[in-house]
Amino acid sequence: MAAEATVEREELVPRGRWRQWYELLAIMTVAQLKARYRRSFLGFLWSLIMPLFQIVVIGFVFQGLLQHRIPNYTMVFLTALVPWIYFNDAMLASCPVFLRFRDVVKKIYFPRWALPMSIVSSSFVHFLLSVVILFAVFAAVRVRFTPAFWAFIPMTLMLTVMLAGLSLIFSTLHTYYQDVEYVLTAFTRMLFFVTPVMYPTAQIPEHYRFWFLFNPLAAICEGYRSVLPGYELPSTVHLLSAAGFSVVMLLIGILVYRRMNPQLPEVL
Amino acid sequence: MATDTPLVDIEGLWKAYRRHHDRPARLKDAFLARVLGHVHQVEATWAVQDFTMRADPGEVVGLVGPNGCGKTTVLAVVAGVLRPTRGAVRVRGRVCPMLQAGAGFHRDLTGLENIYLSGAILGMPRRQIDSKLDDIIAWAEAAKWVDTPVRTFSSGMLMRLGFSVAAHMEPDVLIVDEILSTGDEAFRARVRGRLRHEAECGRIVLFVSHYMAEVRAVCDRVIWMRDGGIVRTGPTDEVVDEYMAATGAPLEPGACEL
Repeated sequence: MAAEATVEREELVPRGRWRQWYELLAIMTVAQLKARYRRSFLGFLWSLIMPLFQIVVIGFVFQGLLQHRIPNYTMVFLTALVPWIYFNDAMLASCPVFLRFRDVVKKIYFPRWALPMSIVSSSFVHFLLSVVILFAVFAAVRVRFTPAFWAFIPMTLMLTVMLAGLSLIFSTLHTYYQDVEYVLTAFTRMLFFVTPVMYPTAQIPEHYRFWFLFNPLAAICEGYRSVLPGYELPSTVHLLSAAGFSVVMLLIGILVYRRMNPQLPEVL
Repeated sequence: MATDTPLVDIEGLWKAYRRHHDRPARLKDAFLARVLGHVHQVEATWAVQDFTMRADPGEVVGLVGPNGCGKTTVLAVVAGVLRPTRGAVRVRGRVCPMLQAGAGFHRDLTGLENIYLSGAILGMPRRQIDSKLDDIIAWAEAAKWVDTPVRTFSSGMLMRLGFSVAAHMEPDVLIVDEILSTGDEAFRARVRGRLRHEAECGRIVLFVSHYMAEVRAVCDRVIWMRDGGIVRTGPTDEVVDEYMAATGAPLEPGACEL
């Protein structure tokens, strides 16, 4: 018997790899979006009702019950909530993605990273739609845009790179350990409270603020918030470390995927 | 030997699965196992042992044998899903498996949207899907319900659509692994015709079925497997007769289900 395994594959009609990847990702993204919006009567609008509900409740608690008033609170909350929902959605939806497509994964080889990536990209499209609505609300309540408006672009880039890496990591881990999703749900819920989403960092007592440097999402949320008058971009150190974190997550994601991906059909 | 024709060439393939007796399936279990000092047992089972075959263009090769004899594992290695433990595998051309009914389909999407989705997963360029769309729908006889969500389909409808997408992929190597069991007789007859047609176009078809009459109707050659190894290879009728004699099934074709 041969002592080792060799596999040789040749294509008879070579196809552009990039084009194939692009088409696969595009078709999958559209499929995710259609499935997401179709099931419900109100479609896209329905997905806005939950955050609105959150704003009403938290807004009431913060503004009505607590002493400290924050001017323009709805806007302050909303600008950070929209990216937070992008983060939360993409993380949790990417976990079970290999399991859901296990019949295909076990039968045919295809670039499997397209599955978690299509979750991120469809969440991204959803995020962009939410941003359009956010701007509409800005216009309606006549909030002035500050020059830091451009910060939306690098913040979104950072967040998306981070999510690409995290979704690769967690979708792969979830196929090995099926309670990863629960652990992650609990973790993100906790993260929500230590990330300046429903409060701005400025409200935090000075001696705690140091710890926010270790939360890359804090930098990103504050970065988004800096489009509002009276709010500033986080410090360069904080921003750079968040960007560094994103890139490292992407690299770890690629590493985990490359390492574990060949065994995936056997584990599923 | 021409290098521009499809080829499946497997030499001395061995494939071991690691059977984990109690592999922790959850983080909680993994954590507890570590705390309590449990070591889970890993045992290698050989799913395929010293399997050698070659298929050339224009051939329909059948794989028969009892459940768990390694047929699906061999096909998964050909499809590139599993890596061999030992052995040399050469595949020339694009491999396309026919998926089980509904695999790769998204429940909430319509039949039409799912044609694009599973076509993309199978590696069909979008332009090709566009140009074949009418044929795919017509072949599946799906014109009436192609615009409704797949979750309302019957299993027969799912299978017809799934088969039709794969049949229009124009792959070099086509894998049909027992997916036809939910089809009615008229449809199965068309599938048999289609498979013969694919072979005549110079493709390779690897065919797994437990219906011997179907194997007889479609295959040029049959490989009989047992316990991961090959019992016998040869012309369809000879091997099927022997296989059925060995399993004690009645020999006359009319007596077995088709």
